[in-house]
Amino acid sequence: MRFLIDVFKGLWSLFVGLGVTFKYMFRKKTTVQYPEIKKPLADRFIGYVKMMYETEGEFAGHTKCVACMACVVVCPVSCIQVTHDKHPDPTKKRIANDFILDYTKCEFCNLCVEACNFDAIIMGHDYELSFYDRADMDMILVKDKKYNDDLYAASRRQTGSEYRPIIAPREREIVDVINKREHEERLKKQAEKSPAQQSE
Amino acid sequence: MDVILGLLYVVILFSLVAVQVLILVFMERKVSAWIQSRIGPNRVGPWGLLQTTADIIKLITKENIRNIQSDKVIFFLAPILAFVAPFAGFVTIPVAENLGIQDLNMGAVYVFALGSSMVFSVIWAGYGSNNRYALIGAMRSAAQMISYEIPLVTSVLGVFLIAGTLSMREIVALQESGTWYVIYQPLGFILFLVAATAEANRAPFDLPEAESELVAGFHTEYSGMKFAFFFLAEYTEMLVACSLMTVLFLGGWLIPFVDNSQIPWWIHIFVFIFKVYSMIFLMMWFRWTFPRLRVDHLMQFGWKVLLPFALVNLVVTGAVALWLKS
Amino acid sequence: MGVVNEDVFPKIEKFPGGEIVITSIDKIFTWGTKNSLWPLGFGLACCAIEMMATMMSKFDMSRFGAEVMRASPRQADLMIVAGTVTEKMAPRVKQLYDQMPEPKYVIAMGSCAIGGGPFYYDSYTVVKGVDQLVPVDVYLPGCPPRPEALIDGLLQLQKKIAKEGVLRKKSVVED
Ligand code: SF4
Ligand code: SF4
Ligand code: SF4
Repeated sequence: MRFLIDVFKGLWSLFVGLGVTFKYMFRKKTTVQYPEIKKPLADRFIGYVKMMYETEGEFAGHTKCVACMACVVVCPVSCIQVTHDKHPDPTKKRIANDFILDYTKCEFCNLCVEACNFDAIIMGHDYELSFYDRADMDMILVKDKKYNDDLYAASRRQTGSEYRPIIAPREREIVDVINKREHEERLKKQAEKSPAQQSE
Repeated sequence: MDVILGLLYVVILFSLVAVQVLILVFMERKVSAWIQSRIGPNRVGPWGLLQTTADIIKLITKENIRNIQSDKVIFFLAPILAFVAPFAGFVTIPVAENLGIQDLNMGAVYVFALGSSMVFSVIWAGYGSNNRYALIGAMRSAAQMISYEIPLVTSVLGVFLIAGTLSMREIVALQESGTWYVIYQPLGFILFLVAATAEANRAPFDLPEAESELVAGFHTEYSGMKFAFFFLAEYTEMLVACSLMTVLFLGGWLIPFVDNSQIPWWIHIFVFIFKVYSMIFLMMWFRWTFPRLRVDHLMQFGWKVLLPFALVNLVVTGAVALWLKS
Repeated sequence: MGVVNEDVFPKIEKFPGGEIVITSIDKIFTWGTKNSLWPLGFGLACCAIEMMATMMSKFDMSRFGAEVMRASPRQADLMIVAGTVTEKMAPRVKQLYDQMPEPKYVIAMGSCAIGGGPFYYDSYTVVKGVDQLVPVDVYLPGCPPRPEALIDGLLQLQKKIAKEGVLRKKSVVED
């Protein structure tokens, strides 16, 4: 008798499993059809390193990087090389001539961005960057803005995503605010639930 | 003349089966995708319909590798037998009233005999390729196929007892007016479904090619065309098993509660194909729902659950048949 | 190669019209190969997790016919080197590549597989790039790359296959 009960229990569990998969068969599909539709990225998503430029003033179009070498020192895999020239602005000493980033080593850890005191580099929102040849992977990030733009246009498809202008501390503030709000909502929900539970 | 006609039949049958297999592989990939709430192949051709065609072309293009220490003849013959055995089973299966290549009066026995010869091809593949994973896969497969053969045949004996014949066409004709044998033999049907899934080496009984344990089981060493033949064989076997199920239990080409002699033959073909595809869908559904069994569980299930139930089913059917007759 | 023996092309090409025959065969074969790249199911480190995510429902590599993970290298066309290649694993990776039948392709996924990545300096266990072992077709930087990036890499590989063809793959590489 035990045996028979076991057999029928087993059969029933199989039917339950079949039911679950059948239900899923007619659910809305979760797939995001990638090359046409792109999943929206989180604001804090870390993509490839990008260069920022002066947008106003006399030196608009020049890179913000003053070749202070802070990022070179801090990079855990030493994949940044910076050469420098004299800065056209007399108040500043140097300007980066070549800013070469070796994508064969970079691990997108954001340390260089945090080290930079001039907001000269940020982590972009690009992630599609495949190469046919390893020699192409030393990306020259800066000379002047036009060169850089051309390089990007040539080497990748435009993702249409914005550069990420917020830096870490402000973002953390926002996250804190969100967390606080969620926490309060959860408390409120619990308060609503508890009388109902008591009545049960 | 007969020879030429026979050859013609074989060529037509082969192309039909090949097309069916293309459709089946595509269906399998789509069903798996839907169950996992994915979309599945949709880029190659309209709605991805040419996906399997691309696969076959690619498999033809691939290099044919043969291990230098493998047994040349056996290694070559295994995939051919693997395909031929289930393919030859189609000969007796009646698709509609007068459609079907040859109706043998021992049709069912013939199909089961061919089904058991599948085990040779698996053993040959495992032994011939001189690869330890392939050999383990083959040994497992032999054990599995031989032990599931018994419940498979025992579960259909009830049908033969009721029908009193082994000819496929007569069995279908006896199921006129909606008295499908699945109504008389529900237990037999379930047992046959399970055992047939195991015979076709499909999940949850796909131990011979368990990817996580034995690289790819008995066809580890096969590449290119020869692998394509194994691929073809798996789906052909499934097709034969489901056709058998349709003929023996689900009334073949007949539509229930309708005078079938008034209905044109092409509707019968569609009815038959519909039934076969529903059964195939059921098998695919099983595959993407259930996890793989462990070896000892598999054997236990075969000998301790399926076989006793099949025997009980047989004895009860025989007793009732005898009682009704007297 | 499967049905077409490599020694046969030069002979066919000598006949009048032979070039055209070869070209059209090549087109069909290239189309087939490009649209059914079955990856070899193996992963080496954290990038493999992202590779698995690519096969799952959100990104679904099967749309391009590349979800049939083959466990046996004999049936695979594409090797996704996903993760850190250590000195100990290197011979196995090489062997797996050798066991795959032509035409075969390699994607180096993640900084580790491309050039050692985070382990480039001060590491005695990591191979500095899988291209020291096997010829790599597409490099995919990232640590780890997003699943979308892997799909993008696959599309780039398909473009490459379409460009170089299947029958003449060897000669193209040698040129
Ligand atoms: S992201 Fe990290 S690894 Fe990459 S350049 Fe910046 S500091 Fe170096
Ligand atoms: S990017 Fe920033 S930290 Fe690096 S050299 Fe330029 S200014 Fe200095
Ligand atoms: S590249 Fe980064 S994520 Fe990929 S294997 Fe190496 S350390 Fe892990």
